[in-house]
Amino acid sequence: MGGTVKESNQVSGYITWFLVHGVQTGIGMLNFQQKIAEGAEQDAWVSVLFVGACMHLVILMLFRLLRMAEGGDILSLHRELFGPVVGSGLSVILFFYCVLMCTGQIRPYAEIIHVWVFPDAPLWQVSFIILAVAGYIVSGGFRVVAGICLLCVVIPSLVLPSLYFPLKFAHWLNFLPLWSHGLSDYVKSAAKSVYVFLGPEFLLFYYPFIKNNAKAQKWAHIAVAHTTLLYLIILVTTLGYFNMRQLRHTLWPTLILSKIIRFAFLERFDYIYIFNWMLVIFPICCVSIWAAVRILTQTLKFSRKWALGTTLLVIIGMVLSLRTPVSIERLENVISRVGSVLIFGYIPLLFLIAIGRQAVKRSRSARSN
Amino acid sequence: MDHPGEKRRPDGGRLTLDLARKSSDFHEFSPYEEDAGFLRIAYYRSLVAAEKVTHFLLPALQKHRPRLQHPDDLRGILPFAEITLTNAEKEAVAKIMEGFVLLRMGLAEGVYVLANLDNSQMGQRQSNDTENEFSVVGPKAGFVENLDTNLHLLRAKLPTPELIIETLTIGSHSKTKVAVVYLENVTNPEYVQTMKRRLQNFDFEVLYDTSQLEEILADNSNTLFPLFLSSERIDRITYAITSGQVAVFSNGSPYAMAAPANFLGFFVSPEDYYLPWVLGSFFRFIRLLSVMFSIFATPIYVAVMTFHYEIIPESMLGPLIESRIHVPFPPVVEVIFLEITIDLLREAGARLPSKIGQTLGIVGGIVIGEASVQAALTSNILLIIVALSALASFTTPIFKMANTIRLLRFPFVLLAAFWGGLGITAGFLVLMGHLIRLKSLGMPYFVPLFPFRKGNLDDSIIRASYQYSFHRSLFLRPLSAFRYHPRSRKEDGDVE
Repeated sequence: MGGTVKESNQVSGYITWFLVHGVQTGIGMLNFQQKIAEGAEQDAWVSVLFVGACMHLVILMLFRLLRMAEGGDILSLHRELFGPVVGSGLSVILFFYCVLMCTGQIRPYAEIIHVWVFPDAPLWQVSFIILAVAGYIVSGGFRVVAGICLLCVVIPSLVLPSLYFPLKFAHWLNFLPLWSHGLSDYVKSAAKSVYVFLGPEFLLFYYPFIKNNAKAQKWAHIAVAHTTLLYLIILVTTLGYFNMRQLRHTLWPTLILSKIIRFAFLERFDYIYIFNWMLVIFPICCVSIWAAVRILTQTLKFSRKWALGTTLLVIIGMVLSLRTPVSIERLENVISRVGSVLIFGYIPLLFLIAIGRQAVKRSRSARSN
Repeated sequence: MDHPGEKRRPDGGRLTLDLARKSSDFHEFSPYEEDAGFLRIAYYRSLVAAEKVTHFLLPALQKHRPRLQHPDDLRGILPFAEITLTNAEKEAVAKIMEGFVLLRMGLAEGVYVLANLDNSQMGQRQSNDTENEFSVVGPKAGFVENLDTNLHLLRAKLPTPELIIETLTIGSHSKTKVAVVYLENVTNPEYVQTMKRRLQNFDFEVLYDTSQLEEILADNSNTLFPLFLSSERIDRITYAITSGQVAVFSNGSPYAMAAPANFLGFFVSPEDYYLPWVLGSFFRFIRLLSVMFSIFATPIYVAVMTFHYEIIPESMLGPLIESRIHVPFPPVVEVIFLEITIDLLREAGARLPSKIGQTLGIVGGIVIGEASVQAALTSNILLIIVALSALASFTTPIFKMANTIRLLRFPFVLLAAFWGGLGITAGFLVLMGHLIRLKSLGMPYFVPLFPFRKGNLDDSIIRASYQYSFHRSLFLRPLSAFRYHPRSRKEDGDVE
């Protein structure tokens, strides 16, 4: 058993907002417009809204599921439902998901650094810096991770008003004709946008670290609504600024949008965006590494130091093995698929099993009475 | 204190009169010439006020000689408030070390009578101007090196029995009195307990200053940041105590420290409260801004000049290149050179006698700055940035924090030189992670920013009007939440 979490290690309920929202927003925000526009084109915002709504259902399910777990997290739930051996095995599979999520942020970010800022910087240096900082933060415990999530949501939000500049040049006719696509197009866009909505599933790990966690559900819903709204704003700005053919050939539309901003003392505003995005990806890096460390310490009984070292090594190994932009594309597809299966397949399945088990228990105790 | 390590120190265990007699300033005699064995007096001449001995002690003993039959009678005879009787030699000697006079009667050798005649005011400076924490508006008086004077100053400011002063002795050689001060019914007893426990558990040889306590008692001693707030200002410490912090004084130090402290608290100046709240908030904002400037200005210069010159607009690129065209060094060398020069001036200014120091500082600063630009060792734009950020770092009211801010830029400059903006961002994240991690007396150091406390921002980021900020900072978990009840003019029945 993981045992109960000490109160001094717990964080207030409202932090759930920043934990969920911070983990959802990441490197995907720089290029998700181009990907989801493949299907429903100018109507892609409908799909974003739809996936956002689905995420609320996922939150609902996650909280119901976690309330049923004795230790409050998925590791204890796995053990309860499937026994120690199979349960631990399933938890270790989740370790790879965490590692994958972290790699999925660091590798594309390193690519952007490579293309926009340091063409000569070796990949290992960039990933080393990010992982060293993340390792330091994670070694401080969950409170520090949560604090970084808060700061890394608030500070990047300060650049949001800069979207005003591209909006000045928006062609609102780009959105017409409205709703001119078939259902399959919407579904395609929705499937593509799941990638940027991934993140609430980490509640499965940090749920016991939240004070009054059952009441924190509203903050999780606020977080998802916040994410959806943010994506809508960015998507609308992008669709207004680019037309479909331009968008198809733009690799990082958000960065291109920021390129048009000029001040008397600052020529290239996109640099602010790029360095700011390091803050944006940090909640994901920290939370996923933290979760990975927790899996290793709880199931395989690693010491914290070793678990952290192992996790960082695995991540840096994965980052370095992805050499080409094509492999990054493939990585994003894999994460998107695995994440979809986890959120819309595995969690509902687990939910059903848990409910079934509870019903069986209840009927048994009723019979014995 | 009895503990296993005591045997190794020759001073702790053997506090005997024989040991004291070895010193030439230890004085032992009898007031009665004809009957020397009847009563003996012993004291350290260097610790006792001589005029009290000649004016009060000896006359009283002569006058009441017939009444003196038993050591207990001394209590009625001697005109001193603090008289104690003990049977333990060790305790008697400890008292003598505090400025007590020992009286021993021949018929009761084992009873030590001790009267307090200390001259603790001797050798103290008279002026108590604040020297390092200056303010234009508001009281100028600060603490001095004497504990009793300091406690008097504090008591005079807070004349209430709720102000509790508890005294401990610290230092195996210095026997320094340390006072823990707090407000009953306001300060959270947990903090008082923690502070006292840490003070009791710690062993030290000579305590010179409260600042030493600060490092030794800190929750994490491997940090650049001061975890306790030390100040020489009476008003500041009074404010800290009434906010629900525990203050610690030590004899011989003009600084008191308050704990638990939070990061933003170090950028508060008492002056903020004496100015209209809009001005107070504005100056506080300037101070926070200058901290950011002071840490990040030169690293950004290094990052931009080394890697990201694209972000400079064309119109500004000209003057920048012109100023750097003859400089043979990479930006990082240039910056480190200038920063170290400024720190050198600062350190020299702090060590030099005040009259020379000022002149030398000005001359040195101007001459070195001007000449280094002329000699093309640095660009003049960088000189402006470095001078400004040096200036900015001195806006922090607490000297220790100002030093921390000054030092912080060096790792950032190096990070910027290696990895440009990426390095600065990484450094920023580490800094934030570190600040979130720190705790002062168990309280998160970065509060009210994390854990975020919306209700306490009105007296941290800004200084809200007294009409609104009438509650104590809740992160200090005080026992009473309100300082006072604000009344509007209408309630007072003022005519509109």
